[in-house]
Amino acid sequence: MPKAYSVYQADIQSGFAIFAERTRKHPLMFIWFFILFLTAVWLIAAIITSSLSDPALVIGGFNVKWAYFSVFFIFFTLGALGTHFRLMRNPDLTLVLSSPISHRQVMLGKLMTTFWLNMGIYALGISSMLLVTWLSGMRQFIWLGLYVELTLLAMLGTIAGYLISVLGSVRPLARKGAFLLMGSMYLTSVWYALDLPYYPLCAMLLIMMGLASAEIYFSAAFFLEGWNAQTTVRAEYSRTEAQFFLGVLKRVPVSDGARAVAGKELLFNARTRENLGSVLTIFGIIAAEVGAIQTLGPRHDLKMQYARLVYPIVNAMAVYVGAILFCAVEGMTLLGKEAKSFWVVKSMPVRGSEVMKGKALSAFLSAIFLLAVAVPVPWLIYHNPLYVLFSVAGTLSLIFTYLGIGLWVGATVPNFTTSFRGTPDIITLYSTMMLCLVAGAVLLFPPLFLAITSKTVGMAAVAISVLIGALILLIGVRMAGRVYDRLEISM
Amino acid sequence: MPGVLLESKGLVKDFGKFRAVNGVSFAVEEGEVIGLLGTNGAGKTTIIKIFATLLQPTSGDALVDGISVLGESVEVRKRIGYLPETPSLYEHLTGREFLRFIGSLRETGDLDRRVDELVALFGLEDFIDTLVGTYSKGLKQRLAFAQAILHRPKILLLDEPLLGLDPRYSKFAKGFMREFGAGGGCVLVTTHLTEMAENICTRVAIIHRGVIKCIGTLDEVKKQTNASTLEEAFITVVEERK
Repeated sequence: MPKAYSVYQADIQSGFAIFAERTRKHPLMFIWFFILFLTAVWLIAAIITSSLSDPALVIGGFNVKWAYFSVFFIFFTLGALGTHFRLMRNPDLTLVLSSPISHRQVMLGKLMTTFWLNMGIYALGISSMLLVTWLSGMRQFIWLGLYVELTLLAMLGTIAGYLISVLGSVRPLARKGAFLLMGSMYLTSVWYALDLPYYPLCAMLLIMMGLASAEIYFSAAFFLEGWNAQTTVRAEYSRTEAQFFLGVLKRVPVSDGARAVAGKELLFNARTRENLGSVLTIFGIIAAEVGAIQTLGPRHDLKMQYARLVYPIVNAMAVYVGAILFCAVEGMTLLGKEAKSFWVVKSMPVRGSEVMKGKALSAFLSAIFLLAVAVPVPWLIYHNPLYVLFSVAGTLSLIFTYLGIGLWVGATVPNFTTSFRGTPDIITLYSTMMLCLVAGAVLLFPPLFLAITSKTVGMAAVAISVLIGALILLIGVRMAGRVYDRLEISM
Repeated sequence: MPGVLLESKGLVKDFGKFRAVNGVSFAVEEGEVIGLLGTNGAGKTTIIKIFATLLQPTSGDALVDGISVLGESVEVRKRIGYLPETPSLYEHLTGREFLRFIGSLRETGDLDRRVDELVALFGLEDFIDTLVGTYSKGLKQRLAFAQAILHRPKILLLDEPLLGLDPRYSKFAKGFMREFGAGGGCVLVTTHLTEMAENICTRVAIIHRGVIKCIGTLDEVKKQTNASTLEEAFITVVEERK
C-alpha cells in the first residue's frame, strides 16, 4: 500500500504543480473556465427543473434513464481515457516499472489517481449544481437518494473505465476484442440495472463495483503485456496509407512545407489509429439515433410539441461531439503531441503559418467524414434535400470554426508532456469545449430560426455561417502560426 | 580571408531567475570546428539552441552567416544543420519517410538520390524502410545526423553528436566533422569528451556557469590555464570557479 500511495502521491503532486503553473500563467483562462462552467451547470439545472415541471418534455422516461446512464458513461469515458494516457500509454513509467515495486502496486497507485481525480470532478459538478439551484431559487431536485445513486454510478463508471482501458490494451486484435467485450458488459449491465427500484439498483451497483475491483486485481497479469503493446512501436506498417495520403495531398494547392506537415500528420494518425475510437463513438451516436427513429417513429408521430425537437437536438449533439473531438480537441493537440520531436519541424526553414496550415489541412481531411454524419438523420426525419443541405452546411461551419479555435488554443497553451499526447490540461480543455458550444450556438441558431420562417433566407444565413467559420479558421491558423514562431524549445 | 559564419555578441539567456548564458561573445569562421566544453548545465546546449533559433536570447544577439536570429529566423534555419542532444524522432515513420519529410520541408532537390547517398554514408541500408520506433539509440542518432546534413548546409550545430554511437560510427562522425571544416564549412559542437575536442576541434571554448572562461586553439587554452592537457585545463577551470 505505501508503494502504491507513493505512485499516487507523485501523480497528484506533479498534476498539482502543472495545474498551479497553468493557473499562474493564464489566470484569466481559469476565471473564464469557472464562468463557463457555472453557466453550463445553470443551463443543465434549468433544463432539469423545467423537465420536472413540464412532463411534455419527457418521452416515456427516456430522458431520466438516459440522464443516469450519461453520468455513468461520462465517468466511464474519463476513467478509460485517464488510465489510457496515465498508465497504459505512458512511456515515463519505465523507471517505476523497473523499481522493486509490484505491477499491482503501480496499477493501484494509478487507480487511486484516476479515481480521486474523477471524484473531484464529480464533487465539483454536484456542489456547483446545488449552489446554482440554491442561488437562483430553482426547485431543488437533488435529494439524498439521487445523490447516492449518482455517486455510485460515478464510482462504478471510473472503475469500469479503468478496467476496460487495461484489458483493451493487449494485442492482437482478437484478444483485445474479447477483453473489450468482457469490459463492455458493465455498460449493458448498468443500462438494464437502471430499470430496478432504488435499493436493488444500489445493491447491484455495489456488486458490480466489487466485481470490477476483483477483475482489476486479476488483470495485473496482463498489465505489462498491455503496457508494452501500447508504448512500443510495432515493426509492421502499411505502405498503402502513405501512398493514399500523399496522392490526395498532391491535389491540394498549398506550399511544399504545409503539404509535408499535413502528410506526416495523416500518416501518423493512420498508423497510430489515434482517431479510431472517436470515429466509432460518432457513428455509434448516429446509429443509436437512427435506431431511436425506427423505435419511436418519425417526428410527426410524436404527439408532444417539444419532443419533436429531440431528433434534431440529438443529431446536433452528434455533430457537436464529432466536431469537438476531430476539430477542437485535435486542433488543440496538434502541436503538443509533437512533444520531444518538436525540434524536428521547429528547426526547419518553414514559417509557423505554413506549419499550422499543414496541421489544419490534416485535421480537416480527418474530420471531413462528419459531413456524411450530418446526412442520415435529417433525411430520415424530413425526406427533404434542403434540410440535408442545411445540416451539411451547418456541420461545415462547425468544422471550420472549431478547428480555428482548437489550433489557436493548442498553440497558445501547448502541452508537450509526452504521456498526454498533446491533450491540454482539463481547464483549457473544458473552457475550449464550452467556448465552442457558445460559438456553435451563435453561428447556427440565427440561421435555424430564420429557416423556420423562410427556407431561402435560412439557407443564405447558413451559407454566411460557413463563410464566418472559414474566416475564423484562417484567423486561427494565422494566430497559431504567430504563436508557433515565438515558441521556444527549452526541453 | 575566411568569413565569419557564426557570431555571438554579448549573448544572455535567462530562464526565470536562472541565468543560463551570461554575456557570451565569440565568432566562428569558415573552416573552423569549434568545441564548446563544459559541465552539465554550463550553458552549451542553450547557446546551440539560440543559434538554431529554438530559443530567443534575453539580450545580446547571435548571427548566422551575418543574419540575426532575432530577425529572419527562417533564413537562419536554411543555412544550418542541427542535431540535438537526444534527438527524438517520429517513431511511426520509416527512416526513409522521415528523411523525405525533412527534404520536403527544406525543399531539397533530387531528394531520392540524396536520401540514398545518406543511407549509404551512415550505413542505414538494412533499416531505412522500417519504422523509426524500432531503431536502437545508435541508429536513431545516425538518422538524426543524416537529417542534419541532408540539405548540404554550410554550418553544423551539433549537440553531443557522439552520444549513443558505436566506436565505428563515432570514428566516422569525428572524421566527418574534420572534413566538413576542412571543406570550408563550420561546425559548432558541444561535448563532454576532451579527447574528442582534442582530435577534431580547431579551437575550443570552456564554458562554466554560462560564461566562456577561456577560448582559443588547444595550445592557447592549455597556456591560459597552465595545463599540460585539455582535460587538465578543463578541470582547472571548473574547479577554480566552484
